[in-house]
Formats: sequence, C-alpha cells, structure tokens
Amino acid sequence: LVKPLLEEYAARVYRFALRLTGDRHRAEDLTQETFLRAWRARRRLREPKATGGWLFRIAANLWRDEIRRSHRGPNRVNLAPDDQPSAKPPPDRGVLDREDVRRAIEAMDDLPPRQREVLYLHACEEFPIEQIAECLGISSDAVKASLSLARKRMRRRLDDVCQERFPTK
Amino acid sequence: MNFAECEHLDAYVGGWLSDDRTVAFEAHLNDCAACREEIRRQRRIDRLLREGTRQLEPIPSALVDRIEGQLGVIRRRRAVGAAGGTACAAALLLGVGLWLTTAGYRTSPPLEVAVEKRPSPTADDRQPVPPQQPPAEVQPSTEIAMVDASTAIVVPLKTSDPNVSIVWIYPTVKPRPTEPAGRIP
Repeated sequence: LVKPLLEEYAARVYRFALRLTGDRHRAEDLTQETFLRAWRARRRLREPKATGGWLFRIAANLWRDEIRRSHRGPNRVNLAPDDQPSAKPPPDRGVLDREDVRRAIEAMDDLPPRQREVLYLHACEEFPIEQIAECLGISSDAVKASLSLARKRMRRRLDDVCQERFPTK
Repeated sequence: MNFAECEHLDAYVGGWLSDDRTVAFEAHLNDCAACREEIRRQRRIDRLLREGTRQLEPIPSALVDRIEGQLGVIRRRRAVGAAGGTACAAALLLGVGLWLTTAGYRTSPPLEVAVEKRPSPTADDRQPVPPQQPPAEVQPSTEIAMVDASTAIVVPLKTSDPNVSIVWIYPTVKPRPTEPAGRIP
C-alpha cells in the first residue's frame, strides 16, 4: 500500500512542497511529514481517486501551520548546481528549451505565494478550479482571481521566451 | 473590434467562461491578433511549467527511502503498542480475577456461622458422627495448688485452644476485718 502511494505521489507532493517552501531541504521535510500525516489519517480518505488532492491539502495545511508558528514567509526556489538542466536532455524534451524552462520555473517561483500555488496546481497538476480551492482552503473566485493575476505576470515576464520555435497545441 | 472582450482572456484560457461568453470571445479572437498571441504564449508557458517541473525537479531518491523508513517505524511502533495493549489488558483481567477470588473468599461468612444457620438435619440426613480422637496430653506450664479446697470454688472456662486453660476462682471465705491502726498483736 505504501510503495505504490509513494511511487505515484511522492514526486508530485515534493514539487508542490517546493512551490510552498521555496527551499529544497524544507520541501523534503514537508513531503515526509505530509506522507506521515496521511498515513496516520488514512482512514479518513473515503475516495481513493481524491488521494492527490488530499495529499496536497495536507501539505498546504502543514505549511500554513509552519508559517504561523515561525512567522516567516516562503523564499524563492534556488536550484542547486546538480539540479540544473544536464548537458544530455531526456529523450522526450526535444521541443523544450532548457533555458526557457528554467526561466519559466523561476518566474513562477517569483510570484507571490498564493499565486504561485494556484498556478502550479492549475498548470502543472492540471487541477480544476474547485479542487484547487479545496486544497488551499480558499474560494473558487479567489482561485480564479489569483490565477488570472499569476498568468498576466508570467506573460509579461516571459514575453521574449515564447517564440515560434515551440509549436502550440 | 471590441476591446472589452480582451478582459475575458484569462477566464477563457482557464476554462471558466460561460458558454455564451465563450462563443462571444471566440468571435472576438478572429479579430484580435493581440489576444491570439497572448493565448498562444500562455499555453506555451503552461506547457513549459508542466513538463519543465517534471523533468527538472525530480524527487531526491533518498527522500523516498527516508519516508518509507519512517512509515515502517510508525507501523512497527503501532504493532508493538497493540501487542503491549493486549498484554496489559490480559494482565488487568487476570488481576481483577484474582482480586475477585480473594475478596470473595474474604467476604464469605465464617464456616461456623454458616453451619449454625443451616436447618437442623432430619433423621434421614443424619450421618454417623465419627468418634473424636482424644486430645493430646499437654503438660501444664503452671500449677496452682490450693491448701484448703473448701476456701474457693474453681470454675473452668471454655476456650478454643486446648493448650490454654482459664479458670475463675471464687473465694468462699470472707476475709477477716483489718486490725485497728496502732495496735500491735
């Protein structure tokens, strides 16, 4: 039960934790604590399909508690040297430019926390608005407003990134 | 061209525009090159984020092992706790059982009283009484000798211990009146 759960969700929770914390070590701790909490409270999960949203909600709540306790805000994510795009790209990355990817992630991590979390869950996890609202404990209208602001900022900042070399869907 | 429609761009990309508004906005897109470019850019950004984070931010492999280890610790602790709880419950039950047994023995009436409250046996119920063994001869530790047996009455009292004898001694002779002070016989 644990192994498949970790295989399916650990990386996703970790990336979301990166958006929340802005720090790799804290993201690792938050990911671990999220799974420990989830394991203890596993009987409360009625619908297995909702596991992803449930884990993200636990992570978000844990992080809010942490911020309240320490009165500190999240920082930008700083990629460590070994996390930088390698010289040999993965085979399915032909259409992505590593520098553009790095800039896009950097722009997302420079957003205010709420906008960053909403954008991540929408763009990267492809969650619908209602699920994002449930994960973050905010209203659907607040999600829409944050997402609109985040996208405008991203488009302004990445004006020169998106050239014709990337085919649109 | 209606520039007011440009405000709905993010709602359109986000997919939360109503059906009517979606039709109107798509009509607007035919005339607005700026909105078309913005939508194209937004979709590229979303794609960069979605695929970029998956490719560039893999979870550290040691973290998965760490979480698995921690979950294993929790499960073992719970297993030990459950076993300990069972053992404690068993010990508690055993203790209560022993206490009840002991308390029951203590609180039951003395055998002699129970025997006294029994109805007297009928003739059919009577069993032949076995002959009692004579008590072992006990050497008295103290001997009292009376000079004149007519001067006292000795009444022995019943005791539960065969080694103890209690006797009441009643004098039968009145004491003489004391002599007046100062007179020497």
